[in-house]
Amino acid sequence: MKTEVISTVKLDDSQKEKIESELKRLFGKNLFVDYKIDKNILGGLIVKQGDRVINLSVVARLKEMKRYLEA
Amino acid sequence: MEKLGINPLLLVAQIVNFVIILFLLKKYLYQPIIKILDDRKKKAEETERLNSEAVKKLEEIDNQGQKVSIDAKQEASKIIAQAKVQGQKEKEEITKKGKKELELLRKKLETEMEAEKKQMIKELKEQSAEMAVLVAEKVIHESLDEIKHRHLINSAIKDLEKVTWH
Repeated sequence: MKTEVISTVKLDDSQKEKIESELKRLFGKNLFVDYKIDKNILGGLIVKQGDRVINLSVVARLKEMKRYLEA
Repeated sequence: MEKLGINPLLLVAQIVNFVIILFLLKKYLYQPIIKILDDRKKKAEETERLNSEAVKKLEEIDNQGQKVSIDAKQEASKIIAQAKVQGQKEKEEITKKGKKELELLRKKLETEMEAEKKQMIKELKEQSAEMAVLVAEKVIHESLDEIKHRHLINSAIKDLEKVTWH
């Protein structure tokens, strides 16, 4: 199953290895990982597989901060 | 009697004359006069009686008039007193109603002001949060270099290790 990994800069091999290891743990072994660059996430990572999303980006953190400030 | 100079025939004639005159006077003078006087007396008495009755009647009317006047005054006083009580009652009702309406209005205004205040605070928080995020985004965008980005990615990878999927 196709899995997208989005980051702000190109990942090095050790980072990719760690990420793929975790993705296998979470989603199973048959993975096809597609790495993409998007500066709009400001930092961190976003993992997408179908409609499943793990958002570990700076943008997501800022949104959380905004919700906290508005409360 | 002739020796005394009294003529018996003349005396008899005088006596008869006297009686006749007396009779005539009584019939044609005294009796009418007495009748007239009696009539006048009766008339006077009648007038007196009528006057008394009139006075009595006037007194009665006067008394009645006074009684009516007193009754009317009493009735008027009663009506005024009742009107005063009624007026006081209505005044109290109006005051009570007015106070109640004022209290309702005050509560309504208070509620509205509270709601407005809450809305303003909410909007202020939202705007402040928006501003804070925009500033943070700008700062992050301008201040992060590649090293810092890699550091953030490594931090995200550590967070990925904690994720569990059900």
